[in-house]
Amino acid sequence: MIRPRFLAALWAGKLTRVAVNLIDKKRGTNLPGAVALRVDPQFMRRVSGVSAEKVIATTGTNGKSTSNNMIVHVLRAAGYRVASNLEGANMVGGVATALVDNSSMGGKLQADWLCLEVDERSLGAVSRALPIGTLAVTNIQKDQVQRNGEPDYILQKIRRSLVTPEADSATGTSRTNAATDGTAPAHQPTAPAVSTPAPSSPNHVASTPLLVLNDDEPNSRSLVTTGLPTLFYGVDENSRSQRHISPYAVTMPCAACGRGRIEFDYQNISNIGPFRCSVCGFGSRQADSVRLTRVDFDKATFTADSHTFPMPYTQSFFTYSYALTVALAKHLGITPQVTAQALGNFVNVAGRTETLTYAGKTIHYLRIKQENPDTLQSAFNAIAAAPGDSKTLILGLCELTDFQPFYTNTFYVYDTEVGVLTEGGVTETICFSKHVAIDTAAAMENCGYPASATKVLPTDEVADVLEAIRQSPNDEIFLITWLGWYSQMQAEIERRKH
Amino acid sequence: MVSINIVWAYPDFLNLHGDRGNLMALERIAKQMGLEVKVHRVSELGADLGLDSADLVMLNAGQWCDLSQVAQALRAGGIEQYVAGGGSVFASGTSWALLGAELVDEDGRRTPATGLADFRTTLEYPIYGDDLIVETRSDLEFIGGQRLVGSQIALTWAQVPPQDALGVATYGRGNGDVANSRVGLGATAVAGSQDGIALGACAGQPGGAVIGTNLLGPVLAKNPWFTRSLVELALARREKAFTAQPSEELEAQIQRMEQSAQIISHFNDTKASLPDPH
Repeated sequence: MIRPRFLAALWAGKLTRVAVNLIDKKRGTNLPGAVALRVDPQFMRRVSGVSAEKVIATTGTNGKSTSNNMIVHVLRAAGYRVASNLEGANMVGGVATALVDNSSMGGKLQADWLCLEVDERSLGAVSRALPIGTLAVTNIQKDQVQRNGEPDYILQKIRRSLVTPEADSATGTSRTNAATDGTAPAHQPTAPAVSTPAPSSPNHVASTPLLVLNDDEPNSRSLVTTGLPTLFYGVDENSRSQRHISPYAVTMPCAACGRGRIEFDYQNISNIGPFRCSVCGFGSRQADSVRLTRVDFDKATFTADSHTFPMPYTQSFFTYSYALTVALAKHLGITPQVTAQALGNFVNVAGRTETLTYAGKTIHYLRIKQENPDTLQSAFNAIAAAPGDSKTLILGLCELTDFQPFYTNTFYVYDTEVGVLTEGGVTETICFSKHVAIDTAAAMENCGYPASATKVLPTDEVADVLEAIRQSPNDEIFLITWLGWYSQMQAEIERRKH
Repeated sequence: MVSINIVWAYPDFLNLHGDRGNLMALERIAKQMGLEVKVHRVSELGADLGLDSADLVMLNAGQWCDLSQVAQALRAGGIEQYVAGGGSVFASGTSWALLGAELVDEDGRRTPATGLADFRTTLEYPIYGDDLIVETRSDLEFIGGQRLVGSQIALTWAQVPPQDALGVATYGRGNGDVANSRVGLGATAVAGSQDGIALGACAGQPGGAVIGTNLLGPVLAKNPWFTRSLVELALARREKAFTAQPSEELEAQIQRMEQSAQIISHFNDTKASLPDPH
């Protein structure tokens, strides 16, 4: 009964893929996988030819799409066949789709590697279905609080996905507020995962992966306490590293001991940089790691292990994707020459920036993630680093309407350093939104952005924002808002051209 | 010049939702009122809180897993004596659980909180995120009868006697408790739910004020009228005679945020009719 059902699921998925391609081949989708799972919920476990040593999963808050795409590109440059969910469908349906698309009609994976971007909340489900041999973690930061609440919630989810069912029931992994008498650490590490693969059992999945961890990000680095084998990657100080500490600067509690606070030597991007715990000493550079040195944003190169690599994408947050990829490529035995060539011609389809022209102005669109202060800060930093000293920022944060209850959260603005904007030549900021424009402007001003340079546009209408752009004294316009609204503006600009 | 001494407690542990904005707003508004503002940042658990000279201790929102240690540090630092002596405490987000007697985990394990108030806070999932609008109790000195607007990321619920609550949630989940029965998760407009706690905040009551709320925003930035009143309350509890100087800037800020509050209230009144994209 198992095999016919599995095949029915596979073929239904493949038929769905044909139908989707007829509509729009370029359109990303998780429909084939969703259909396959509907027919056979055990579909993913039953694909043959999937072994742990072939599966690389990349998860984390920010940068997983770019990092996964980069890893895939390097592996292909090295001559491997790679199956992946490059289109960014990173939940269970998207992973299943990658299997549908890359399996033979008999249900065998036709690839040397299965490289998956996995949403951090879906990692548990994916790791129960597939044996993950390598798990790369980009970072674990504040993000989508309406779904995730706290970074610790995601950290514990990832930890639990690394524990086999046997170990899980033996030790207990309930999330507790452990009492402390000051002698024991409040954050108890989970028991090391048990390495007992049993591929013949449909109910067993052992995820005992090699961890590839960001040496400079405290939460993800704390996964070293699982006791699993680990590679580290990081980025040394460079021209964009921040050492300046504002009087309001805050970091985070130590996820290893829970008693201390994290102190950064400097930050390369928001809340990521070499660090140490003020109490237990947990920190960066405590084990061998592959670190990018001599990062040169002007020459667009970096050095790692004495080799120089091209770095076509020069926004700071890309450096950690490069570091992860170089570390993993080295571990997999890919030569620096092959890696360098691949990085030199890598095209990031998961990009967050686009450019338009309108009324003689250049509009640079920067996409951020909802309720995510670190991507907002990255956007601010990118604007500051852009050439020019007379820039306008159009900031449309808007209410959150992914699912009910819709709500008006803009509090993540307060976790950013807006001073970089004035230092970087932003002379005018226009906050637009039908419901939260006033809030956003107030947040900018409370954080130190000059009130005299801030305008409120209480509207979601594209026409009104385009008029504000037209009237701006500056020609370089930087737009931060949701992709859906940007797409409407893009369409309207196109319509006006014709 | 009259000064207000603020203890910014454990900001690296307690800054989950942009809550340092509470301090930014508090400082700005207190200065606009004509006060000298002194901020004592206490970074390490176990460090001296400097409570002898403090007027207001700020406890911003933190992760649930960190609260027991923070509570222990506050107890060891003499928070109870501080309040008894007229010092005030303000806690927001999940951290208002620190003001109670116990923290109760999902598995029923109990750890002590500060004991400043007699309630228990229980961790629960799933996470519930929504806006929250609160009308504060009218009998509270300075902060009474005010509308407060913000958001809530609810991981917990707590049962507080109505006479001790900060106010009533006119929109949102608040403490998650309505008439002794836990509010169903996923509920939208749950009018009648209590929000937070307010002790020692009525005229004639001894000691300092203990104020807690589920509101995020940051609450003190989104509600400058409340922030002004909180400052006045904290000074009154310390018996510091003070009359706020007029400030056009502060009045303009209040007017603007009242306008924002009106817009957000209307949004919440109508959003249930908007199509859910899923």
